[in-house]
Amino acid sequence: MADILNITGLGRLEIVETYVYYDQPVLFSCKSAAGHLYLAVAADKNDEHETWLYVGVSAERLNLIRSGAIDLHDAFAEPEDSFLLREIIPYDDQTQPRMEQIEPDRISEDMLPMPGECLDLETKTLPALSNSEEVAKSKRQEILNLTLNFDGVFRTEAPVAILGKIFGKLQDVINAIGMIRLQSQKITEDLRSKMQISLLEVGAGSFDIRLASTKTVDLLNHSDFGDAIEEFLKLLKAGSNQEQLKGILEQLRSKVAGEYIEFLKSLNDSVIDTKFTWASPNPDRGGTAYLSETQMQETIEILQRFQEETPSTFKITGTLTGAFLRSKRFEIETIEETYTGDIADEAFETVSKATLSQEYTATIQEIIQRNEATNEITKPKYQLLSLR
Amino acid sequence: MEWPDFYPANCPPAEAKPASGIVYRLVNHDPAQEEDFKAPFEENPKRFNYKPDIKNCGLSVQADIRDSEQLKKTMKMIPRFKNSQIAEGELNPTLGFIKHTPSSDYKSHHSWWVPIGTEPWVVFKIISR
Repeated sequence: MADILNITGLGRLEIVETYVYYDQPVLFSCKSAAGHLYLAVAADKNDEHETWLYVGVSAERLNLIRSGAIDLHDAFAEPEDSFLLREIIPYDDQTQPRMEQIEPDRISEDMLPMPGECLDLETKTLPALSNSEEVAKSKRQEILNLTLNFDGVFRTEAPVAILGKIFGKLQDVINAIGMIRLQSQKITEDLRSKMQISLLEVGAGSFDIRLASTKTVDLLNHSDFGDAIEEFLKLLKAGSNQEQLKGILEQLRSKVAGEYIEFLKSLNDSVIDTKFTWASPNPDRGGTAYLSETQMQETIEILQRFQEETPSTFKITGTLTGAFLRSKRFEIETIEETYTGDIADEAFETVSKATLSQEYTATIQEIIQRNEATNEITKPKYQLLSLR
Repeated sequence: MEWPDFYPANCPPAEAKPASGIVYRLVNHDPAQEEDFKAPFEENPKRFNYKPDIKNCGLSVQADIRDSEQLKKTMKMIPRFKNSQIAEGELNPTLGFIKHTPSSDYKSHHSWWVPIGTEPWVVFKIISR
């Protein structure tokens, strides 16, 4: 077998692995001198020439093909680079082989492996991933890289409890943004599944964590998770810029601000600085944000002030479990939370005629205050503005 | 036994044995023709930069009918073989040398080196389309 091929237009290719050998390698992966990987197949032959197809593949995608997660037809019909390479090698001595770039929809089905045909090679380890964009594109998932610079930790290790807290708070912020984006009053199973973040891998260097959306993007490279990450990145990029933060949070409501504060606090407790990089299968999306320790502290302060100054209103649907007319207090239970607080004057008449244990949609105002003694933000207080 | 001019000095390899037994091969014609028995290098030396070696001078055959299922899978996976058919033939020592060269998919894979002046296609008949 020729382990080295000299291919017109691609140069010297080294065969990495032969998947099907028949007279010669007819389905194989190969690597160029520059390290680019290709999957190659014997596509056709006639009286004049033989035809080979080459498709550029990332290491990650090659693993998916090897293990059968991507069938051989799609490996060629849906290339990551959106084009294939077709090599035509004439039999006659006078005509040189030629290589041409071709879009997959211009390749006849006869020249592609049959749909559903897969390799089933055991794929034990993933090779080192070259970059997040490649991973996002090949896995069709939104990728979020976090680089955490822990205070006093000089090895690529991280305290599990702190990491768990940071991950939990990050998921809470994304869920809160998802609720706004999807106009959901609560975190439903559907929302949870759309916003779910998975840990993909932990890298070397600083403490690098690669997270991914659990759901893949749709055919148009869109995902609700991507929308939420876009808003999240706007928050991060705003850093401690008061005007920008206010502009974003006026749209995202105070629940997001609250969760974002909690997330920043989880970071600020142990991380000197942090960097976020978003890579999306959609080439028009993505970005990077950096937060220093000072920025985190300033942002927390600004957001807490913002919450105090800007009471937010929101709607909930739940059961009226308490209406105390003398003290003007109410209690409404939703699936997730029990809201108690004062009844506003404008809602008093409606509440006085309401029936306990019945379901209502209520407009609630959330008021954030600061404890003057400790200067800490207190738990939010609620005021019932209307009941329907 | 006379070998094609393009064969390198060590081809067929010393470990190869005189051809014998029933074997199976993918062919593109019914009945099988000379074109179905051209070694890859003979067919298109440009593909190999005009450098013959033991492998590109040999042909693939299976010695066990049980490998025919894998041959059918190959026909589906490799577009070039989509219209191929499985032919069965009984080899004899006048048809050259063979060597057992198994792979994980083809346990009974043999490499076969065919001398000039022979007509291997006449001993093959199509058994499966």
